[in-house]
Amino acid sequence: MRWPCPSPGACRPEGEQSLAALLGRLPLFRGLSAEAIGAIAALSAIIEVPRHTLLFGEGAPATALHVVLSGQIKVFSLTSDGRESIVEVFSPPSFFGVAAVLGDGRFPVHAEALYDATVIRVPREAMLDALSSQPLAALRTVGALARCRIALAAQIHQLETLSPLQRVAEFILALPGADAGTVTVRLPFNKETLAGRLGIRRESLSRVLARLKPLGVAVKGYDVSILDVAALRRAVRPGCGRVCAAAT
Amino acid sequence: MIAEALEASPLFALLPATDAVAFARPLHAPPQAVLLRRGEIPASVLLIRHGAVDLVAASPMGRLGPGEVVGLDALFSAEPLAFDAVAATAFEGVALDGAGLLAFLDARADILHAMIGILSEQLRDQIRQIADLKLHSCAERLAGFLATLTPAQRDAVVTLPCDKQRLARRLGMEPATLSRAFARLRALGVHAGRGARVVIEDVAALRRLTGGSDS
Repeated sequence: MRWPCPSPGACRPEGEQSLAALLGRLPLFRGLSAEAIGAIAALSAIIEVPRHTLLFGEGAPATALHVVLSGQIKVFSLTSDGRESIVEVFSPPSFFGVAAVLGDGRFPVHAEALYDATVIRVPREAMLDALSSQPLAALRTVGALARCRIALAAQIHQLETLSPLQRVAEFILALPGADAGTVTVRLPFNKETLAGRLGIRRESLSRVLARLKPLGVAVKGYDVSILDVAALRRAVRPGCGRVCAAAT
Repeated sequence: MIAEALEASPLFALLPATDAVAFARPLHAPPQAVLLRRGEIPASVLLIRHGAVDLVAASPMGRLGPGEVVGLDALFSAEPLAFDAVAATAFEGVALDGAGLLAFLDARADILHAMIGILSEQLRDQIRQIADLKLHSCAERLAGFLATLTPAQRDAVVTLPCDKQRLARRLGMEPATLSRAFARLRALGVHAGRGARVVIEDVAALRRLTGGSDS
């Protein structure tokens, strides 16, 4: 891994207007005045983060939140003996680091580019300025943090209640395109990362994928073929009943 | 009831009950009732006092319990709710009218800023919990917990501090999974009966196990 990522100043976009437009589309800044978004953009920068580059380390000062424009960023923690626990993989258009920036000021995890990535770096000062001058910014920030909390609560619930086979199947069923009938969907990252994201070992993932074959799931590289989405859903959610059916 | 419910929620304890009663009302609903609908910006934010709420999209997303808040993310982000909120059990809680809540907070930036601090802390705890859940199997988490109940290195008899249902919840697993975790630890000389007494033949072996990982 290389450290640090490229200097923010070296990768500034040609015009701050384009950066403002990108920021204005984020739920975090939606509805803020053009002037307020322009002020945030003026302090922000687009940076390129090559694959396997550490964006920040656990315990480092949280000086900026990051918006993923392209590529993927892996957020993870490490044990003292080097084992990795992937908390989340962020793809466009998502952002992370708000809680650390506005909380105790330290990143609780490491972040590394899983593939070449482009991110917007929004400095802490820009966030604090917006919060103090724009009541709407504080409202949107609470909304964004509440959304993160729901997503993490869902992940905790899955880890606590679902077997490894169910977790893998649910992840596949949540991929874009896994709606109905016979489909082929694409894994967003390699199997090692998938195993880490789902909290199982790489060799356990292989065993789980073998057990999914009789349920009509075949994985080749990044492609996942599902023979019958509804049948897979029924097989892995035996207790779900009509609530899930109604929501599908 | 409203004041008690607000006080029990880390986030909404920030709202003065004397002000909140103007836009809050008690809400009861039977199991399976759809409390908030996916695709809509909710008219109310729900605070759970008793019971549990399932978040259901194409797949079950999770379950929230007492003290938790549903709908805040969509209302404050002005984005449609990404899930149905369905009462998993009989629901008792408080519905805070969205327009009233927003109007009140419009003049109370201090409360919004305090909410940011609390949510940030809660997120940090969740991240730690996820990292721990992914690194340690159920058996390892149980072994680590049992090892904390005694300073012994070799054999010991310990007493569980709560019933097994509560212990399962504390360790982040289902009761059936806890039973399987105890069964797995039997090979390491851990013997648990129906009661709270657990015999451990080799405490050091349990401590070593917590260094491993698999789910």
